[in-house]
Amino acid sequence: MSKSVQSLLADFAALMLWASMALAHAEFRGSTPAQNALLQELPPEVVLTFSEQVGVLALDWVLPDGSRKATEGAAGAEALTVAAPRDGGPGTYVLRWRVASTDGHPVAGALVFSVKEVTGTAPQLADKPLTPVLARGGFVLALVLAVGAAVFHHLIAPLTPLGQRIARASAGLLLPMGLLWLWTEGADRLGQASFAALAEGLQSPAARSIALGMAAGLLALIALRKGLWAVLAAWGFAALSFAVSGHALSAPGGLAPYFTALHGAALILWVGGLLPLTLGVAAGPALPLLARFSRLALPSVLVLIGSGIGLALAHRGVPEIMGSNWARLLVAKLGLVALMLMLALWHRFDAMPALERGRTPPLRRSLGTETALGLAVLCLAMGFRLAPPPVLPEPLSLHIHTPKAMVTLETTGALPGSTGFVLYLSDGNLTLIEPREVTLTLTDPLAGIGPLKAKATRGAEGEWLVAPQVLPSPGPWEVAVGILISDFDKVTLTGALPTPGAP
Amino acid sequence: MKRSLLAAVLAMTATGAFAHATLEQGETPQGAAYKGVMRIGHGCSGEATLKVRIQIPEGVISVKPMPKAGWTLETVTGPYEKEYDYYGTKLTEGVKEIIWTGELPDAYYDEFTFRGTVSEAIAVGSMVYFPTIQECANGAERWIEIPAEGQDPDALEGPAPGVKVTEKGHSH
Repeated sequence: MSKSVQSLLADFAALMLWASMALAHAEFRGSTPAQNALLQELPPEVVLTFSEQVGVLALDWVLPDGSRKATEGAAGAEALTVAAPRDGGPGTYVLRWRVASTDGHPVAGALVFSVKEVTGTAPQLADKPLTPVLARGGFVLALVLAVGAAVFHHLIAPLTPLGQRIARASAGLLLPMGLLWLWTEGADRLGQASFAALAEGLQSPAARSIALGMAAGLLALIALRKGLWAVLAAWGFAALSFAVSGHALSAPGGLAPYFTALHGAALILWVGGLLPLTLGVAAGPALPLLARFSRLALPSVLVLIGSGIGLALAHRGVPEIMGSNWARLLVAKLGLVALMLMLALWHRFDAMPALERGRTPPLRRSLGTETALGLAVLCLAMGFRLAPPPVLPEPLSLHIHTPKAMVTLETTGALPGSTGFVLYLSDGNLTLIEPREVTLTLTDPLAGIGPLKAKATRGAEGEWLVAPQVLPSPGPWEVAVGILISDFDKVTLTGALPTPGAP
Repeated sequence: MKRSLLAAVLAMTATGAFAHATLEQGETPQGAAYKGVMRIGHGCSGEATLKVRIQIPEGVISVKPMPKAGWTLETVTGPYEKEYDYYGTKLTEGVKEIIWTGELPDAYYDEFTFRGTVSEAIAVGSMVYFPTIQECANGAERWIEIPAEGQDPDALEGPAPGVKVTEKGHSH
């Protein structure tokens, strides 16, 4: 561009500026609904208020399922009205806006509000897949029944003919159930129920559980004919299949998969053995059967409780854990397990001595109840997928070093979400500095959110604190720390927050 | 009209002529008198400007501000870091900061004028910056950021108004 054209443009721009000189930067004044509001239903429209009329540069919605949709707004004198998006169900909605005031300054931000429940913006938490949970439930029930029966057959007593049939049927169900689970898992990941979903399902961690479970079912079928090796392998494979997908992998600490495998092995023996036991007691002498079962089942209950405590402890220290749906489900499950334990102890310490004295306690009813409770516990445990355990927020930190000043910045919460910031400032020689003013500017250029500006206040020990800001995306967020050292001396340090999960 | 206005203003963003505080004359020959006209386009987020402060950088000597009707004028003087030759006179101290106190509503525009000389201590081809602060009742606009080597001044939030020093005896 030649110099004269450039200066002509500048003159033209300056002329236009004269006309609009009365107008300064548009200031964002607020919104309806307010930031972080929790609403009962989706409002018909959203109003953003500014100090002056603005021009829309970009507007788009992020729905609870994570999908994005560009939209348009009607700019009034001091308000920008944006129609509601299509109803995306309960969850968190984000309106990302970028407008320009007449002096050309782009102003941007993100309005976050939720309908009925806060789901954050992580799409995997936003949609709660029911079909894979049901399919997995069916698969796990069949697996526990088939392998539990095989274990019972070898370690406790031969199965009754009815028990054999149920065990074979359960093992046979594993193939169609496994395929169904694989398909629903894939359909959930793809967001559509098509033939391709099966191939997509193979990519999910569930595929490993399904493969191990199917192998365990096949081995259980073999074990029903002969072979202690087959039943031990079936037992091991089935226990492993619990440990290779799901929350076992996401729990902190790394021990959770081992606890889960132990938990699975013990529940196969106890819960899986209850049905053959009930059938056996109905068909023949109860006492020797009960005595053999309780010799193995009571230790397995101890393993079950121990590994269960280990699993629960893996999530300790997470402040949100109390009162979460995960905790409520856990309490419900423990309640049922406690009932089962009471029945088991009654069988061991009341019914068995009664049998020895030649009396006939109502064993069929109590064993049937214990079996039903066991299957109910299994079904409840499937529900953990719908109520994942809260994860301890991982604070992020960033260090920026320049010859003039340096800053160490830490977040108080996790991303995406609402997080405050703590800043430690010093000059290039590590001496604390006493700035007049500290500002923090956050931008997510990839998501087009920001710049969000916040002022820091001085903490008690020389650190600078920024009140919680809503960062609706995982980033990476660009950070600019403006340090006003004296009236005329300002240092701006820039860097980028690490993305959550990155080392 | 609104749309074309916006487009023009956005185009302006690209040329760097924001509604920042800027100097009218962006170039001055070394050793000659420079008349600085500081243009103030708006207040602090809608508030009226009550004080305009301009810092005089080291190497700009013999500075005199122009009084303004309705504004009281002060200067802060102090020793220079080194001695300067000004038409045979040795200058060791002078104006370091100019302060106008008055009121400029956000809706109005105004200019604040001073005169000075860019000494030979400032190399030809370099930029000399005049950090400027607008103080309002509840805040301030600071045009005090000086771009680092190779940094795009447009990337700064509050760039200090600057002047490019050109060769002696030529106006362009």
